[in-house]
Amino acid sequence: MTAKRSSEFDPDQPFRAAMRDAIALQWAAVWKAMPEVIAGEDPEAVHKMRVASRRLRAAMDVATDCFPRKWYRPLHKTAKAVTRALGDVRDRDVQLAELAGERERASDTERPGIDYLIAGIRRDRKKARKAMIRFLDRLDADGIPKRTKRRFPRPKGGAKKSRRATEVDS
Amino acid sequence: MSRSLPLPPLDPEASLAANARRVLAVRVDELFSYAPVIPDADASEALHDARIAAKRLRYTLELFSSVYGDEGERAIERLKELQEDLGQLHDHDVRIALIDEKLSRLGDLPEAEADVVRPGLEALVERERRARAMAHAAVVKRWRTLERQKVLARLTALATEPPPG
Repeated sequence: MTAKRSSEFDPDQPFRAAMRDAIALQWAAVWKAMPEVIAGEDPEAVHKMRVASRRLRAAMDVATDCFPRKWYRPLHKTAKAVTRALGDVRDRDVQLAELAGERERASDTERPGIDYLIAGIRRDRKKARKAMIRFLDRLDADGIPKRTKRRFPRPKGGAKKSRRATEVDS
Repeated sequence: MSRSLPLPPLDPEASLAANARRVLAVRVDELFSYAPVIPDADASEALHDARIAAKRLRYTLELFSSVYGDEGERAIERLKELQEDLGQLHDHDVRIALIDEKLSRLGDLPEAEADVVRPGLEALVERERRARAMAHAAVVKRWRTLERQKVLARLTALATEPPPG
């Protein structure tokens, strides 16, 4: 069965119900992306999860009036923390990719300076990645995925084609 | 760090469409409040904040795409372009700051090593500054395009409640 997508939400439905579904979709996208981030060094996996977390935050930012603060606020804070943890790694991936190109174009005199810069960013990335993995492991250990699935159960979908890339799976 | 403008109280029992329009109005105001800083090449922090505001607006349009229809989809494509341009600018700012920091700390290295790495860092930061200037020009050009295409007016219309009946 196809998961519901945000472009399929009925504009006339109550806001709370729509936001529950929207947030469920985005949490699902975050959890789906997580194993690849933990398992490998693929910068695209980090980027994908970070984008999912930004979309999640966009949804949770506007739904604060819809759900009891007691449990909503901690999950909202967690969503923000996910973006931050991934951002420290992602930002360095972006810089390393650009500097790889600079290095190729550089003269022999310039290359040692670029290598020095790259080495420093790689060291920082390694630290940032360790911190990110610790954070993500703690999410699992604290039962956050289960909690989000309980509070925001996955909506049942239809077969309608989507125009927007908030899809979770097919 | 950029803070979003506060949202008005939203009604959980009201329709998705009604609330989506209220959110859109705030996000549109937020992005276009940066119009005065866009031409200012030195306003790095404010330009970074504009990038975040563009992302928030784009994500809002995507989140409520069933409400905003085709006009919303067109706006998303334009915002992606603006976001890309602002992103390039930001990446240059980050690299320039990083390189400047490394240059300022070359005194911590043995002199021979510092002499080997300095030329590359100095050449790179000069290239980055030139590239940054071009990236900022691209942002200004993109913004002018948005103005010509009356994107603000179109988005404001999307955020307006439909007349009753």
